[in-house]
Amino acid sequence: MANTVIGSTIVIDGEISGDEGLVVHGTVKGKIDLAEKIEVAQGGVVEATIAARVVTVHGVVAGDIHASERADLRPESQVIGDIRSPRVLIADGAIFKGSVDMGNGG
Amino acid sequence: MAAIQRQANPKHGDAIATVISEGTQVVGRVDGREDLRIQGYVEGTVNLSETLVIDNGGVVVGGVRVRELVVHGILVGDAVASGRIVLHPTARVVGDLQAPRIVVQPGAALRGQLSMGETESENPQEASGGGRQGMGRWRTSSRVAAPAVAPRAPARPVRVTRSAAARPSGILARRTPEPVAEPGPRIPPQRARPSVRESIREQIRERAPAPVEVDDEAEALEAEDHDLDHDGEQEALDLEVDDGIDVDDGTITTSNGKKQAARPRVPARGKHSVEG
Repeated sequence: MANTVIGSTIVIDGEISGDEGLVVHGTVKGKIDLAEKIEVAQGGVVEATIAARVVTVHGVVAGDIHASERADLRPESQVIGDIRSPRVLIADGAIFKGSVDMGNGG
Repeated sequence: MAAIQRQANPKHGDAIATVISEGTQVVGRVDGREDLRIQGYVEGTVNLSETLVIDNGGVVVGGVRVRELVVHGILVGDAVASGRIVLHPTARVVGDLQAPRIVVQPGAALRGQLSMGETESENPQEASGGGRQGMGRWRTSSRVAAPAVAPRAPARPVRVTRSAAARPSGILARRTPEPVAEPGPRIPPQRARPSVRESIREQIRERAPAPVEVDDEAEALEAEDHDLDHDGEQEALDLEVDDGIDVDDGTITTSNGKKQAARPRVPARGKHSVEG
């Protein structure tokens, strides 16, 4: 199991960084900086700035998302914040408030 | 948002083991009501109502407060467990441990205090404050060490200056010129020249009353003509420096040159300019 998993009852207040995948079922506040994928699972809450290669959201994100490859907002997701990514997918049913910047992917 | 989080519980439940894996660093607070396995790096406090496992390769820097703590890796910080603490052979722990039951297996490295028994309730906030005193057991030492070192450094120069300043007035005054002159090199070279000259003057004054007269004469002459002053002082120097006599006699011009090179101070300049 290479991925880091934050369980549903876990609350992390601070900064998470790393070069492995991250799955958030719980709550993370602060900042997330990954070289890999991050998945905010259904029920997961992220109140943080997210920087990662691929960002997949099933849950709730309050904060800016910077995905160097792809940002994927799934049907159940709620996102408040700006998204910067070359590819942005917003599924039907997703709730999103913020701006999207798909230029260059940053 | 909290409600959503609660909704997720039945879905994911305990089936999901929380893992902070090898390539992941967490800096901050980690709270939870489920097992947590740390293979990566966590800096900050960890508060769990369940079991915390620090795997081999995992590092935790900060206070830990859990029900049960199992350490295969590294823990730097105090740990309070309401259940038990188990240090496995590969464990490396620096910090105080507090739990009803503590197991330290052979091979485990531990530095810190252990307290067993029902201590849990006594320090409810023990592990919650990351940087507080208990965890600072080793940090405290470093903090103490830092100020201890700091005063020493300034103390040395102070002693030197004090001793150098104190000697001239004492009985050892004769020898003072040398020590006074020596510290000169510390200071820019400008200061070295006057200090040597002054030291010589002091020697002259202290050896006999006569040199004092010379100085007076020098001052008096200085008012009239600075060249006479040079001569007077040069004689004093010749009297003073035994080795210098021959040299000065051999090369008068040199000594004059030195004098004039060193002389051009405020009074001399003023007169030169006035005369010129």
